[in-house]
Amino acid sequence: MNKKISQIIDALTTHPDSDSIRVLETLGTNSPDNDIREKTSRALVKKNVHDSLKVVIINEGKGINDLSPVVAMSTINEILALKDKTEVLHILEDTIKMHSNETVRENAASVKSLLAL
Amino acid sequence: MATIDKISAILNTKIEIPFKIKARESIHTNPFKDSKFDGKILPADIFEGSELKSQNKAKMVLSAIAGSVSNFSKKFVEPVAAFCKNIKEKTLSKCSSAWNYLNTTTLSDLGHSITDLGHSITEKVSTMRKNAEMKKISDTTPTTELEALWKKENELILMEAA
Repeated sequence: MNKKISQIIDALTTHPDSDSIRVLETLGTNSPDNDIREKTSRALVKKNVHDSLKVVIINEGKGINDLSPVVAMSTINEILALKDKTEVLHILEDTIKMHSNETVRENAASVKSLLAL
Repeated sequence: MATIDKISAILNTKIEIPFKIKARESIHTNPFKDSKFDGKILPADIFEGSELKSQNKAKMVLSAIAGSVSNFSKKFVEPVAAFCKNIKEKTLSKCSSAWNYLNTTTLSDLGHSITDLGHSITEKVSTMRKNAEMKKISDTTPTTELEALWKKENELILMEAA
């Protein structure tokens, strides 16, 4: 991965500005590079706020729903590593109940069962 | 009776042992203590030997100084000469190598070397610029600026791929 982009993602991960989530979503999760998508998804999980977790859970083709298994598994691992899982559980429950796409619902249910273990 | 008295007198006198070592105090006493000059005055040249010794000493000192001075000049001059010789040889070898280089180098070679120099300078400048930009990236940098940098980097990647 490009060193400069990696550094930008790291800076956005700890950035206090909420606009950093938008930048990560726009430029990171839509990147054709698997490594950049993986790093961005992990960065969004690390932020552990509603808006950032929503990006990697409810969007098709992003985060846990990424077509690349490496990106999806890496995101799930990062979710499992969270100390405070309150917000992520809340979003997962809402996704399982209300999301229109069945695959997204199933993925959310799988992650929730993993968290319950 | 008289004979007996004589014998007793002989026996009473202390007989000195000839090789007995005397007390230590006698070592540092006057060596001429036991000499008897009987009023004779010693001539002045009685110490002639000591005068000669001092003269010889002076000569020795002078010769030592002369020797050391000659050695010093020798020791000083030889390294200077060697140094000068070394410098001369080095200068000549450098000049000859430079002359050989000028004789063997063509204008096109010079052009290549100048181009290489230009490339290396450009690379160094770009590395310095990148390092400066890297230092600028942190969580205190505004998100708009980080976004712009990311977009710029994406463009560069696309250009390189093309």
